[in-house]
Amino acid sequence: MRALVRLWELIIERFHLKEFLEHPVPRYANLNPLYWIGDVAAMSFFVLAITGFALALLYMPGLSLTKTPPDPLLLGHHGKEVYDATQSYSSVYKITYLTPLGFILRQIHLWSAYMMVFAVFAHFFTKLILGSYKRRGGGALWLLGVSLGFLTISQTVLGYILPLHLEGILAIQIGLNLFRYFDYFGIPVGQLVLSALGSLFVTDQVIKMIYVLHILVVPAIMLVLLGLKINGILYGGVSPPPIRDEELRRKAMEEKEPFYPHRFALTVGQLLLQLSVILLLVAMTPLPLLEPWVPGQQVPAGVRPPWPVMWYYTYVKMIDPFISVGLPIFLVLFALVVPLLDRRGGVSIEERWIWVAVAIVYIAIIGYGTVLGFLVDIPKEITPLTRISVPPDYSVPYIGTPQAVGP
Amino acid sequence: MMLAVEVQGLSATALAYVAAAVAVIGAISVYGLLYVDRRWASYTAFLFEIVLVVLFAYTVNIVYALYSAPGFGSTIRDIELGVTYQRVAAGMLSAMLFLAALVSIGYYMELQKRGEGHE
Repeated sequence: MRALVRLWELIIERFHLKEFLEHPVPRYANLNPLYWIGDVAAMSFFVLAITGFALALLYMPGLSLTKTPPDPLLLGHHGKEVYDATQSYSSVYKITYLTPLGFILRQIHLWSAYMMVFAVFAHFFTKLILGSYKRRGGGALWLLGVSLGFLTISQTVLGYILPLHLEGILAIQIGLNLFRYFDYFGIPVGQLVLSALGSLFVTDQVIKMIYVLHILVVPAIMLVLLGLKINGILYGGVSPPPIRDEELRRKAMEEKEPFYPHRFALTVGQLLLQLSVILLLVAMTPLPLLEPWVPGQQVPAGVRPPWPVMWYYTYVKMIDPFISVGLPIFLVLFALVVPLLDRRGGVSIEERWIWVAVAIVYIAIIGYGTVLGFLVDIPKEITPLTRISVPPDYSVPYIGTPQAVGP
Repeated sequence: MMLAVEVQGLSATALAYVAAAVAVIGAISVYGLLYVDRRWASYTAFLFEIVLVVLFAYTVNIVYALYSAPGFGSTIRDIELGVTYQRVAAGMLSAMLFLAALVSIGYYMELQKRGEGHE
């Protein structure tokens, strides 16, 4: 035991960890769960990275068709013996149903992704209500946070496309349509993205590019931003407590505990609890692998995009596309300039009622669209392709297998 | 040729009930003991962790035996069986992590009570 203690002390000394481990953390940030939600999102990111690494070894992107048996978790498909499915879908099928412990691996990845998105939304609203950016360096952290939130949603959609099931194809259709409408702002960003993809169709190259974006490019950017954010919190401190009385607030901020062992024990406990909840969800409510898509097939009625973007899909169908397509851009841009607009007043809830109202409006927009999207049945005729008005002539809004041109 | 894959061991349902019983008794005991003495709570958690690890190893063993059986995957029933055992294994792992989380958060609560580390 003494040798272990000596080894621990040696590690702390030689790796210069003492300063980091003993940095003071305000007591209120340890006791108030509102200050842990960001940790949940960050932990989910690392869980996703680890499970994603294992999944990337087994996943094979590609559009070539193979025969695949039906999903045992999807009810009502037991009669069918085999489906035609793409190589991407077949490899996900093999991971999920024909690899020992592959089912758990994929389910942990899925539920962690959903937990991360949920934590990101909750973290955003909490920090908006608490006015966490109202301190030195808070604006920069807010900027990093909004960018990370946007990248998290993008990652969810990119990951959802990869198995090439019907829902994934719907997601890529919405994405490609979105890029067409970026040209309304006078800058051909959408066309640039489409040129980078090299095709308006779902091809092997497009899927590979989405795969690389999902496993390498976006996570790398997120890792850098997350590093900057953790660094900012480490040296800039956590956001002030929502207390109106200045004397009491100052007192709360001065009451500190060392990171190790206090916050460290709490963080370890939180990580274990989070993993426990994820595994319980895997055991109790496993998510089935959805129905496969074959190149050229139209997405049938009733297929819905993943819930983090469900609200957007609902608005694209309901409202004029000129407004609805720009809605998320407006929401993100407004979120980015919040620290510039909110310069007066204190940090207590009573003094911040306008920003509480703004947060409620955000929650209402996203929540209403999400709930409505799941409640209202989607008729076959109204898909994002048919509802959106006529696109510019130079872009072809057709998703399918490219036909060979010439002899 | 289609081969019928059979499991020679406890059924997934039986394993799930045993694991759930161990997990619930363990969680209540550890939570209760945290109010008395954290050290005894840790020892109890460790004991229940060992029981759950044994159950987990047994279940994972069945999963591997199932997936390496000749003809596995030729029927949907095989895959359903494999998924069921994997879900049970996930539940056991969840219980193990929950007990460890209780002890870890309990340690922080004890530090709070002691009032150590205030600057």
